[in-house]
Order: sequence, then structure tokens, then C-alpha cells
Amino acid sequence: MRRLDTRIRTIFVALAALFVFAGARAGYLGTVRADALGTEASSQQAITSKVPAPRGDITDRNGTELAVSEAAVDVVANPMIIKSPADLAAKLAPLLGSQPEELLPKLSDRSRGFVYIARRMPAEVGDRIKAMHQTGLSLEQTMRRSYPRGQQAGQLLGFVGNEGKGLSGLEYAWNSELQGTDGQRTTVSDALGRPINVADNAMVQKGRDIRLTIDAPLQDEVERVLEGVGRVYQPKGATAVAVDPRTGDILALANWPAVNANDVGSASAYAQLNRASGFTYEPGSTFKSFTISGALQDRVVTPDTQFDLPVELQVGDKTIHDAEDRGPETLPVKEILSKSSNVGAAKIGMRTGAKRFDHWVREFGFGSPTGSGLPGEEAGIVLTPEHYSDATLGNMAMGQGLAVTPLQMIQAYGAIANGGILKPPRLVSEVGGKQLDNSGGHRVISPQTAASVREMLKGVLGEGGTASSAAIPGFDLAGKTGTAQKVDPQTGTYSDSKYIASFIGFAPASKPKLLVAVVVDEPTGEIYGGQVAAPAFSRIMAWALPYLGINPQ
Amino acid sequence: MTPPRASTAAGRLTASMPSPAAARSERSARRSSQASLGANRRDASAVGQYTETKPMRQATGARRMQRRISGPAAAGRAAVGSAQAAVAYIPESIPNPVRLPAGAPIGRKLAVVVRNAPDLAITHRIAKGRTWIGLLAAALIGIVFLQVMLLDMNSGIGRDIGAVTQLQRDNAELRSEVSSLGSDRRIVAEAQRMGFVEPPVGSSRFTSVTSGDAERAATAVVPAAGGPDGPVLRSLKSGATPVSVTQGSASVNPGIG
Repeated sequence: MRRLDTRIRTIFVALAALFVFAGARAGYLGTVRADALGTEASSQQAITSKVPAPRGDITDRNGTELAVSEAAVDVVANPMIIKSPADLAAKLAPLLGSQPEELLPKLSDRSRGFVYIARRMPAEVGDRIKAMHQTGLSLEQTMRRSYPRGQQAGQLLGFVGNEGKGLSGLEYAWNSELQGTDGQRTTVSDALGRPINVADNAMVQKGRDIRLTIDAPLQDEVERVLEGVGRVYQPKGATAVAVDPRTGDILALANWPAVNANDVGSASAYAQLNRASGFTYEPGSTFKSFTISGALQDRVVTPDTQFDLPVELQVGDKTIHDAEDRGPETLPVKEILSKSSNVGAAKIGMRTGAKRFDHWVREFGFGSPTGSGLPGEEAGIVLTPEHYSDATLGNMAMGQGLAVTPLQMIQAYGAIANGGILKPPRLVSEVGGKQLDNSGGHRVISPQTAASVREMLKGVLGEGGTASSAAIPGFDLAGKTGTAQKVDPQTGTYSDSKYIASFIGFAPASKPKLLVAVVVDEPTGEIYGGQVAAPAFSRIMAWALPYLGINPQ
Repeated sequence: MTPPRASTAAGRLTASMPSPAAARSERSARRSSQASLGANRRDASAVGQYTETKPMRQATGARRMQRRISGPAAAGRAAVGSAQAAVAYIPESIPNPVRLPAGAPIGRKLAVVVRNAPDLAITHRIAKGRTWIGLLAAALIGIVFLQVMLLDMNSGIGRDIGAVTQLQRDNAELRSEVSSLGSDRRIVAEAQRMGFVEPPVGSSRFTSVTSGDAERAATAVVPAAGGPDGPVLRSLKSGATPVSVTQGSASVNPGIG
């Protein structure tokens, strides 16, 4: 029994000693090393990370996604702790779609502890890299912008930079609405790295969705037509805009050459330009409609007022003549427009007078941006009467000596098509689910004047008009051709080889529901608006009118 | 008379470490005391002797005094002694309970209940017996269980957040895919690859499709003579009225589509 007691006491003492040791150790860890261990534990177990906010989606008028945000990762390396940069570069290159030689300098630069290897990579790539469990590599969660339709409306939509900010197009113009607010999340993980507690310190807020007035199928068709123009006439560039004149809603806005919004970097600066709003040109004959509208509204002329038209008209230091050779003739105002007589337009402009002419030019919206909300929109160049030379009025009346944007032309023609009420073109109809106000607009000319001009413009596509080949059987079309010489920057004078061919028209002529402008910059081969731009207009209308429910009569 | 083994063993033991035999004896004595508790308490109530709680040590001493002696048992004397010992352990009710008027606020009532709790008979009974060990163990196990549950729940939340993130990711990708697949350009290119030819410019017409149009169109399609009824056509026709198969090439009712 005594031996048993001794053993029990020995065990008791041993256990007591162990308890004392454990207590002392716990005390040491809990007091002396508490701070260091606490920091270490929190860095290993509790990770506070940014939760990237998705940008708002951009959709067309029917809700088709044109720009969406997708989960992505930035691949980050710490070269200081990477053991074999060459091996890692070889492993990473196929995943990142690059060459090992490109990655190796970054991975082997041991002077740096943080370097981006790739940015905005798809999340699946991130999953594969994570599965490598490679020391020295880490992933930062982020978002990438994706444009599912690639080239569709590339210049219009713009693109987003690596920092998640819009850098051009609508992405830039509406950045404050589209951009969300990043959240912050603390994740506590167990020893195996499984999350055991997730707390959102700041909730992530997605950016607001934007619904455009663009109609994706129509946009597709307009782009296809422009592609055809590009193929046939090899121009420097081309742009086309389709608008509902009743609301000012832009249904399609296309540019050629097209730009893939997912890879804007590969496009030239010229291709990236949204020429509908950022390109100014001398409109040429398409401007004559406003010269005549102003004169009609001022009752200086009527549609039947006859003008004696000489072969040439000397205005100041400039000699004006028509595009086609003809002898002296007398034409009424309506035929001056349908036959696009330069001499006739100059005479009407001069009859209106400089002051009133300038009034009408500005009333139709020239000389100031339309307010479409597109970034970098040009105001154009319109001289004030004080700066007119002897030749200016006659020159401007036929569409030369001033610079306009295609969007300004669309806006001004919209007033004629919309019974005299000018509505600013708009691209965004809804932000964050809320309809934007579209009550803007003001009357420019009377409904009667607008109807008279529309009637005259029907003649352009009729027999003997400058765009008779653009007529579509069964449809009541109206429009105006334009062929303007470009100024040669070398000589400062009008070039004999560089032109801008354009056509603007609408349908149905009596009650327009669709207005389309096509502007082709420096076409080769053919140069006239009636030959280059009018057929493109015709193709767009032939597809769009039935699509919009306007069937042939 | 031979002394009981228990007392012999107890004599050998130190005060702090009672032998198992002595402990057994102690427990046995306590059980017999508790067994007679009910009757004793009744008796005590009957004679009105219930006064106050006595210390345990004294109670033990009292029990020792009731040692069994030779000869017939003195039933009355033993019963009264036993009752005295029992009431010393467990009070029938709180000695001086704080009582509140009927209309007292519920918070105050609760405070009084809590204040009286240590003196309640049930509290004494639990504290004296071994039940509290079980209760304490259950409570401890419960706390641990709750902690584990909490961790499990948090882990589940973490997993769910991961799943939500993954679903959002998939959803964005699918929406993107739907948009790209719906592109007219892609469809036209695909149609051309399949040998379709675009109609002449201006000859395209669009119809507005309503629900049921596809089914009606399918019923109007008549397969070629002897030709098989394709799976798409069959699926479209499912649930529709039977289609009469006629000889000749496939035709569509001009009134539809």
C-alpha cells in the first residue's frame, strides 16, 4: 500500500508540475509575447480586403447588355521571395497569354517587393494561379469591363482604364454614375484557411445602370452598312447616326473604322474618335435646307419664288457656280433645293441678310454643342456677322465657311422633321432605373415652314433630284445630299481631291419617325453625296423602317 | 459488538482523504436520512417544530446520535430525531420571503424571485445532491456546443458568401455571353456559313411575335413526303392539335408569320 501511495503522490506531483509549467507558459505567452503574437495571429487569420464594386451596366433601349462588369484579378508578385523566376515565368506565361520573356524581368527584379504581373485578368485565370500555391504570387480581387458585342458602338461606349475609371466615350462621360463604391470585408480563417467569420465593414455598392436610347439591332445594321461603305469607297472614315426626330433619341451611332471596345489600345487615335460629335466639317449642300428654312420663316421667299440663276455668281473675292455645268436658268426655291444649286442658295442667303441669316444658323443649334452628353463634343465654327467678309454670306448659305458636327446636323434636321421643334439629341434615357427628363426642346420654325421644307426635300429623292437612286419603292423619303470640299491644311485652300460626302434624310416624309445622317470623310473613287452616302442611307432606311414597324405604302 | 467496517476504515484515514468504504457509509447514511425526509417533514409540520436551518456539521452529529441500539426500535423517538435532522438540511420554504403586493411591477417581481432563489428548497436540494454536477456538465457542454454551432454557422456564412460571389460572377459572364450570342452580326455570319442568303435590300419585313405564334407556325408546317418529322418540329408541335401530313413539299400557311 505504501508503494501505491508513493506512486500516486509521484503522479500527483508530476501533474502539478505540468500544470505549473503550462500556467507559466500561458502567462508568458499571454503577457510578454501577447502583442507580437496577437499581431501575427490577426495577420494570419484575419484578413481585411477590398471588395471591388462592379460598375453599372450599360444596356441598349431594350435591355441588351452593351457593357458589363465581370470579376477579375490583378496578379501581383513579390520578386524578393520568388525562388525560381524563370520556372515561374514559364508556368505563368500560358495562363496570362504572354511570353515568358515578357514576365521574367518583372519576376526577377529582386529590388522590388511588389510588382503587377498582369491586370484585370479573368477570374478563371485567377483560380488557376491560386491553385498553383506559388510563393511570392498573390491575387488582388478587382473588376474588369467587358463589352460583349465587341466592336458594336465601340467609340460611343468608350473604355475603362486599369484603375476602373472611364477614360473615353460614355464610360467617361457617365463615370460618376457608373462607378460604384468599393466595400471592405474582414475574413477570419481557421488553421486550414477556411473562413469561420466574415464581416462586411463597409458594404459594396454597385454603380448605377445606364439605359441608352441605342437600339442594338439597328446599331448592328448601321455598322454593317458603314462597313460596306468602307470596303467600297476606302474613305478615311465614316459616321452614321439614326435618330427618332420626335424625341431626339439616338437609335444608332456608328463610326468606321470600327474599334473593339475590349481592345481599344490596338486602334489608331483617328479610329478611336467618335466622329459624330468630335469631328467638324463643312456641311456643303446639306446646309442649304437651313438657308431656305430661315428665308421661308422670315417670309423673304416662298417655295415658288423664282430666282434667275447665272452660270456663275461673283460674291466678294469668290466665284460661285453649281456642281454641274448648266446655262443661265430660272428656278423656284423648291427646285433650288432639290437640284442643290449653289448659286440659288447664295442668292437666297443674301436676300435674307447677314444678321437674320446668322440668327437662323444659331437658332438651328450651330456654333454650340448639342448637349448630347458625349465627351469632347465640338461646338463647330460659326462666324459672327461682324467677322463676315464680302464672300462669307454667299459662301455660308451653300454650306461652306462654317464647321459643324454630324450631331449638330442631325439635331437641326430633327427640327425640320419634328414640325419645327428642335430637340437636343440624347443617348441616355435611364440612370439607375430612373427615367431622365426629355421635355427639352424649343420651336425654331413654324410647322408650316417645316412642312414646306420637308416637301421640298422629297424632291431630292424624286425624279431629277440629286439622290434619286436612293429612293426606296413604297416609302416616302426626304433628304439632302452634300458634297463639300475639305480645306487642305498645307495650302489653306479648298482641296480638289479631298471631299466629304454626306446625306441626311428622314421617313416618312410627311410624318417623320426616323432621321438618318451618313457622313463619309474622303471617299475614293466617287465623291458625291448622292453616290457615296445616299445609297448607305437608303440601305439603312430599307432595313430600319420595317424594323420600326413602318411598312411600305 | 464488532464495530462496522466503515468506521474502522474511517479511523485509518486522514481528515482530508476519506476512504472509499467510509464514503460509501456516509452516502448510505445520507440516503436513509433523505428517504425518511418526506414522512419526517410531514411530522415536523404536524408538530410545528420547523424553525430554522442548522449547519451541516451539526446535522451529521445529530445523525450520529441516532445510532442503532440493541432491542426494539423506539419508533417515535427515532422519527422525531430524523425529522429534525432533515429539516436542518432542506427548508420547506423561504424563512423570511420578501413578498410584494399583487400589482407590483414585473421587473421588481423578477428581482425578488432572483433574490429569493438561493433560499429556495429546490436550490438547496440541487446543491446538496449530485444533480448540479450533471447540470453544470450539461451547461458546459451546451456552451461548447453553442460555440461550435456558431463557428459552424459563421463558416457556413463564409461559404455562402463565396457561393454568392461565384454565382454573381457566373451570372455576369452568362449575361455577357447572351448579349454576344444575340448579336445580329453573329447570327447573320452564322446563317451565311450555313448557306442562307440575305434577302435583297428593302425586302425584309418584321413581324411582332406573340406567345403561341411559334406553336401555330409549327402546326402549319407540313413535312415533305416521306420525310421525317424533325425533333425541333416535334417539340414545337407537342401539345398542339395533330397535323395532317399531306403529300408534297413542305409549306407554310401564308396567314402565319
